[in-house]
Parts: sequence; C-alpha cells; structure tokens
Amino acid sequence: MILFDGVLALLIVVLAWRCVTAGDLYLGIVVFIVMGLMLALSWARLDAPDLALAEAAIGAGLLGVLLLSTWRALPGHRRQDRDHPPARKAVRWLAGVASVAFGLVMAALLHALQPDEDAAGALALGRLTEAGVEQPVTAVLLNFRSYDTLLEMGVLLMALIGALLARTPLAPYGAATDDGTDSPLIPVLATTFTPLLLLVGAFLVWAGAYGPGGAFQGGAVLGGAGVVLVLCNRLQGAPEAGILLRLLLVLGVKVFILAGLLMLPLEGAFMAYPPGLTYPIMIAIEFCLATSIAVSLLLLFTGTHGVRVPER
Amino acid sequence: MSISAWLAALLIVAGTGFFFAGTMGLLRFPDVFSRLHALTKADNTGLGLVAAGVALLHQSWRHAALITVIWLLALAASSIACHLVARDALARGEQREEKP
Repeated sequence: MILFDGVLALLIVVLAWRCVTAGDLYLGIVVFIVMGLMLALSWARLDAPDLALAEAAIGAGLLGVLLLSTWRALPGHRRQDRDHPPARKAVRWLAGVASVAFGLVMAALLHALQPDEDAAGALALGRLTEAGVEQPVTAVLLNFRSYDTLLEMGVLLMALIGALLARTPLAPYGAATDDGTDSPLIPVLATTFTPLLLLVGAFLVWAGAYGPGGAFQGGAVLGGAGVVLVLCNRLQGAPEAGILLRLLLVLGVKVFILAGLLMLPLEGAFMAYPPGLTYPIMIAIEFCLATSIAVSLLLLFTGTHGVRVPER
Repeated sequence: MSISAWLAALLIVAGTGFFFAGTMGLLRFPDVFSRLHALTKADNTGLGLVAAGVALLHQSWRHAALITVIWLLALAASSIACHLVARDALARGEQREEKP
C-alpha cells in the first residue's frame, strides 16, 4: 500500500500545483474538485472516515458546485481572466522556497512530536461512555467540545449573511436557464435521486451516533439534494426569505443553545446535558444542526435570501 | 489465495482495464460525443467489474447488496450526466467529427 499512498500524496501535490497555475479559471475549478476527491481518499487511507465523508461532501461536492455557479455568474469577459500579469520571478521563487521550507519544518516538527500520555484525546476516549454516543468524533463535537461546534454554527450563519450581501449584485435571481432543463431525464433526476439523497443525508446524520457520519456530512448531502432540485427547476431562489426558512436557518443554533441552557439551573454549567437524556438530546441537536447546515448551503448556492417552488 | 480471491483479483484487474480504455478514449477521441460514449460505457463496465471483485472479497451478502446498489446509482448518475452533457453540446452546435 505504500506505493498507493505515495502516488496519492504525489497526485495531491501535483493537482494543487495545477490548480494554482491553471491559466483558465474553469480548469482551475475542475482541478480543485478533483483534488478534493483525492483529499477525501487520503483521509480514508488515514483511517479518518468522518473527515473523508466531510471532505467528499463539502470540499469536493458542494464547494465545487459553489465555485462552478460563481463562475457561471461571472460576466463573460471575466471567465477567461488571463490578463492579470503573473508575479515577478523573484516573488514567485520566494513564495515557492518559503512554502517548501515551511512544509519541511512542519513535517520535521510533527515527526518529532511525542504524543502526550495525559492528552485530552485519551481522557475523552476513556470517558466515552458518559458522552451518550458511541462515536468518539460525535462525542467530541457535540458534548466534550460543544462550544466549538456551537460557535462554528454561528460562523456558518455569519458566512451565509456575508455571502448573500456580497453575492446579490453578482447574479440575477432565478433558476438555471440552460438549454438542458427540458430534457426528459430531468424529472427522473428530480423524482428518483432527490428522495434517495434525502434518505442518505438523514441516515448520515443518524449514523453519526455510532459510526462515521454526523451533522456536517449529512447536512451537506441534504443541501446537495436541494441543489439538485434547484438545478432541475423544482426549486428556485427567491428575493425574500419566508418565516419558515428563517426558522430553519437558525434552528441549529437555537436548539443547541436551548439544550445548553436546559440544565443550567441544576448543574450550574452551560452545555451540561441531563444524565440519561444525553443520547436523545444529542440526536435532536444533530438533526437540527444538519437542517440548518443544509438550508445554509442551499442558500449559498442560490445566492438568494430565500427559495420557493416555481409556478408552472 | 483461495479461488474466490483469485477471481476477485481477475475481476478488479479487468475492471481497471476498462477504466484505462475509457480514459484513453476520453483523451484520444476527436469530439464530445465519442468521448462521452467511450468514457461512460467503459467506466460503467469497469466500475461494475471492480464492484463485483470487491463484493467477492468481502464474502458477505449484505455488503454485496450494498455495493450493487452503489453501482446502480453510479450507473444512473453517469447516464443522466452523459445525456445532459451531450444535449448541451448538441444545443451549442457541437459538430460530430467524421472519420479521417
């Protein structure tokens, strides 16, 4: 397997190089997506299936879709943007040498690092039974380090608001206007694949309790189902967000905070879940988080404040 | 190695052969339609053979069924993608190259 890993590592470096040096924006985006898939594969090889799923769903899948839709929203002359002059040779050499030196130093440091016996990881693994779920990654995300995840959800919400503010002047509202949307296979795609995607997404969220999966991976797949619906013209961006959509957007953060406050009077600590109810509370939080993540990612894709079913 | 392991290895090697042929077609064929043809047909067969090999290695009916479902999904997705790309190319007025 050392040969496979070596080829994979080399391939990722080469793809990263091509992604940065590609003269064509579109080519750069495609190479970036391929690099995301290779990164997912490398996480799988490192025995980190959670990260592999997240990288494949978010890094390669949704990020690729976002980049491609942004590319399509660019005015024609900006799509083939080759007119910005390349940096001076000295600058390029400096950047290259500094990056290689940084990488070597990091590799040496990480190699020399001895794992601490009393590290938080060992402590957390030892007390996994108290966490409510069997899966260590989910236990850390939703219980041991739930502050981080809560703040991440806040960051995602802020990012969405910022992106919507920045994106609005870029693209006109509306669904895909490509010639392909009247294809007879589009209804098949919408009616066969979307339910399957929803099922897989919900399963991934639920599977986070005992195996690889979780709110982010499942949410990304659910958001992907929404993207398919938009591309099939079953959903389209709307300039106004309905009250239901706004509720779904903040559902994750709200439920997370509520669950955190639940035991504040009794336990005296934020995010102290009541013993015995930890598992149902964490599953509820996980599904609410996934819903908010899915809606956020979908709105990032449409670039609009809301979505609606188009009139036909 | 048991007979099933040999058979699985044979299937996987044959599958990668199909992937290789499909990629060669993608790189060498002159126009969008023949490239699509080479890519989707050969890759779907290759994926099916690799999936069959992996299912054989797992020695479990449950895994075999799951792998079959994944293969069918990939098949459907690639067929739809192929159709959409070809349709878009047709709408853009892409010409079919005649044989030299």
